[in-house]
Amino acid sequence: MNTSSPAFLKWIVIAALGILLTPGIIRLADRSDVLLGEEAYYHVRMAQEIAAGNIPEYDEMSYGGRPYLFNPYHLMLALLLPLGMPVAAFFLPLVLGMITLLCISRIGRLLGMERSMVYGAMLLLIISPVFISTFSTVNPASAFIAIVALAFLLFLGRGKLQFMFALLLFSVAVFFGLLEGLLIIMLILGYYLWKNDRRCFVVMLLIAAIAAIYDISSAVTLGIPQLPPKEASAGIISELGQAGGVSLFLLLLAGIGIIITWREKSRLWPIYVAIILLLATPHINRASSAYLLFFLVIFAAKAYNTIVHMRWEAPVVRKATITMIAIGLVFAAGLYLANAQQHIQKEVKQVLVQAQGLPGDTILSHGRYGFIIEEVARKKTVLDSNWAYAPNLRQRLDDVNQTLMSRNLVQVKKNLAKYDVDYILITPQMRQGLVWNREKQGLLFLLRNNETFKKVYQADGVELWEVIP
Amino acid sequence: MRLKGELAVCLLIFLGIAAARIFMAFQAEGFSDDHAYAVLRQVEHISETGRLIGYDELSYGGRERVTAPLFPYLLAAFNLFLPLELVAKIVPNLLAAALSIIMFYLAKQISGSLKIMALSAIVVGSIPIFVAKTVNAVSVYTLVLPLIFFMIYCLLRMEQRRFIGYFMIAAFALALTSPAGFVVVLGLIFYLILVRLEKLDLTRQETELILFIVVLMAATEFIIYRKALALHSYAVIWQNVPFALLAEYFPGINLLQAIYQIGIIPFLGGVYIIHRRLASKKGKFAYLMMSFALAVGMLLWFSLIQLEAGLLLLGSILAALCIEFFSAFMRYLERTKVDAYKDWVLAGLGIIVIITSGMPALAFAGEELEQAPSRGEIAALEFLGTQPQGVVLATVREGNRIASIARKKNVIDDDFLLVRDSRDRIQDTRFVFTTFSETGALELLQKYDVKYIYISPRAKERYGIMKLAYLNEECFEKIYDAEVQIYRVRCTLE
Repeated sequence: MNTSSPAFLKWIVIAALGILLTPGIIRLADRSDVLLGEEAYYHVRMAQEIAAGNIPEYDEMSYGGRPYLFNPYHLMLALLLPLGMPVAAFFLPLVLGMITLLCISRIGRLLGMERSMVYGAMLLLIISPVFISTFSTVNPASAFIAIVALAFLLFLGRGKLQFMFALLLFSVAVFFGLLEGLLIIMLILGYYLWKNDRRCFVVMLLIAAIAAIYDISSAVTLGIPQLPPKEASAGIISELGQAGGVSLFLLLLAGIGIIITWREKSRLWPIYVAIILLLATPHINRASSAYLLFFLVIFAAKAYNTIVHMRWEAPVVRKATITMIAIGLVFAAGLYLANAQQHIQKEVKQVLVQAQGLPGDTILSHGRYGFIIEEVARKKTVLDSNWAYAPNLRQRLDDVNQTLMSRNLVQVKKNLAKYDVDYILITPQMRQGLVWNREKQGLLFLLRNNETFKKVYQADGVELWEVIP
Repeated sequence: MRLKGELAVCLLIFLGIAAARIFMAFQAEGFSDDHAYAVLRQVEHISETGRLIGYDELSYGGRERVTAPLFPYLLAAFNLFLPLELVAKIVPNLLAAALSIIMFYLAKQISGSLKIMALSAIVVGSIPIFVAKTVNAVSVYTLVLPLIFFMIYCLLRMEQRRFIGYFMIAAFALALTSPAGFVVVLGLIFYLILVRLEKLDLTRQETELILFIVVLMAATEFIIYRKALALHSYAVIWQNVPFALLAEYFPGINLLQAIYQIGIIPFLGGVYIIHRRLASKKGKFAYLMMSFALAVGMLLWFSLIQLEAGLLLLGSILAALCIEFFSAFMRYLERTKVDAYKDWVLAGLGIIVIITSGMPALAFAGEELEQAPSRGEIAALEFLGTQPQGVVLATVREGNRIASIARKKNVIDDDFLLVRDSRDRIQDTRFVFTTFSETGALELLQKYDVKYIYISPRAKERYGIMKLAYLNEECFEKIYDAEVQIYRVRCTLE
């Protein structure tokens, strides 16, 4: 198969479709109606509120109540909700992924890159765990990436109308967050240094202005957000515990690519800045690894292209090296797909559905179950994984940690009362390392106290305990 | 004729070193390193089922295991026609002695002198730490070191195409043997940098092979250790060793002790050549070795490699550099009046090597052999094996022998990968051995479902105790009392 032939694009698109559909198909085969990705429930809940006609100002469920921060993604999802929530959740990421890929293919050609390098980059993208994760689950990063890709493609076009549309899309993208705004500026700056296109200043000024107005007004009304602790993130590398992170091999290739292109550093420095920014912020922005992928893939594709096309003295070493790289990349993707069923168990949803009708309105659990509790059980949570502008974030993290890990009943009761906790959700994942490492550790030991705790539901290791005041 | 003579000398040295090592190994009934028993269990399992132990029911009372496959499979292949005991005593020593063969031919490549070839082979075969730590320990380094030096040999002979193939095979074998292969990756990267800095010629083939090995090691180790990487993240570098044991596993370097363990001649010779090459003359082999030394030195400095493993590698690298030292020394002698007596001088140097490396090697190996379980300990473990199944509490350095000889579950052993609560277990084990509180001890014994407490002289020494302070007949029944005491736990807390 000729990888530089235009027909090869068709195969990439088919492969991408197959790969992005796989997690959903695995989920269906498991007869599970649980959405992929823990944060999906948050976005669906907000989209439902918007679809019902009221753009919320205050989210009563999250952290026992907090201000709602608008995200354009919720609007997009709300528009698709009439198709049904499972359909929207299944197709929206897929469509965004395909838009992104096709835009990248066109952008590469417009920038004068060799076809084989563009297709190589696309191949590297579609077998990357973070790409699969981003475009098979409901999350705003998928929309941001697709919007920026489309905006950039329009920007590269020469027509005024295209430019206006590009400006519009870039402006929308700024509402995804401060980091997102900075990344667009770095991207456009990189393009300016490359092509000397003065229109870049218009885009950068516009983005800077909107971002300044939006983020400063948010900071004035909501205060400066507390940063979550670094431990809140599993990092960015998929092989080092971040399910759906950047593959180690892609990083390795990108490193080689950076060395190869080092002579161009005066023009590529904004991309380096973006990469450093993203490497430093996985605990602040959940989508860091998704964004990072798109910057790294530029260098990785360059490295792969160089390795494949360079003159090798020993052909056998060439074959073995390329095979090993391919094995490493495909294995990372395979491992992610094989672990796709390790998202939230369907039994968690079953128990939370039961909890809907119970009196009392706050459930305590590990932060990763916060969104599903809020959406399915329609109960408040003490914390979830949405750190941005979360009230008393550090204090809550400490309190929840103390509550789950302590064997001191008095202290635990005090903490539970502080947050008006009515129920505690415990899952097998929490027992197997997410929170505890052994039986009767911390709160698990205290649950034997039937004057304080009473088990109300149980399904396949998922337990809901009532707190008796 | 010369080739036959070379071969005879090489074989003689190999057989001599192998025979000496095997003789020493048989001086102890068991194995010096508790980890040897974990390897033996893997070999037994392979012999029985053809597969490595994936879920180990005895270790930590039941846990997943991850092991690089080549070394246990190699031993299992010998186990097809030899009893396991013999395989474990003989095969690693044959592999270790094979390092002398490789060094012999490496010296041929560098100097071409048969005397230097022989002397170099003897030097590497008598590195004190290499002898001591691998003679009776079923150590994976007996395969790692020959593979690394074979790869270096292949790099030097790369102009012949077949050596590229041999290099690739050896690299693949190394990747399947131990993560210590990353030393080669790091060493070759340093080599790349040094060569660039010194403006030496780097062939295209060398660059290609460096790229190949970087990719190969990353892919293989990621596949083998994927679960451990996902669970422990960066802590995998330190093998998830609990903080309380880090100082024991990754102690700081004492230079004098390091010189003693490496051998004075390899150390001085190696350091002299590094100085000489950095100061004036450039040479590919020396730069390659210096890069490896730099890689190991850096790993040791940042405590990224266990001290013993680091010194094993460093000792072998310095011994390899000694080839150049001996060549330089011979050339120097040729320019002096003692030229006529240079064979005698070289023989004298050989005697110095034997005194400064061979003797410490024997002494050091003797100390290591004492670490093997005594006859009394083995008797106790065999007695424990006759008791009903139950979890046994012993020190972290005895867990594998509990599982291997007594066939009982342990609370802890020295393989911390894929164990989530190793830190707690280390602390709890120490607590049970040192506390005065019977209730506290019983609570922890109950937590791990411990049925037997195994108190060996090693445990008494480790925790500074004569006996457990809270023992009473009602709750702790003494079921074995000799060199080792074994207690059965009879009470539970309500």
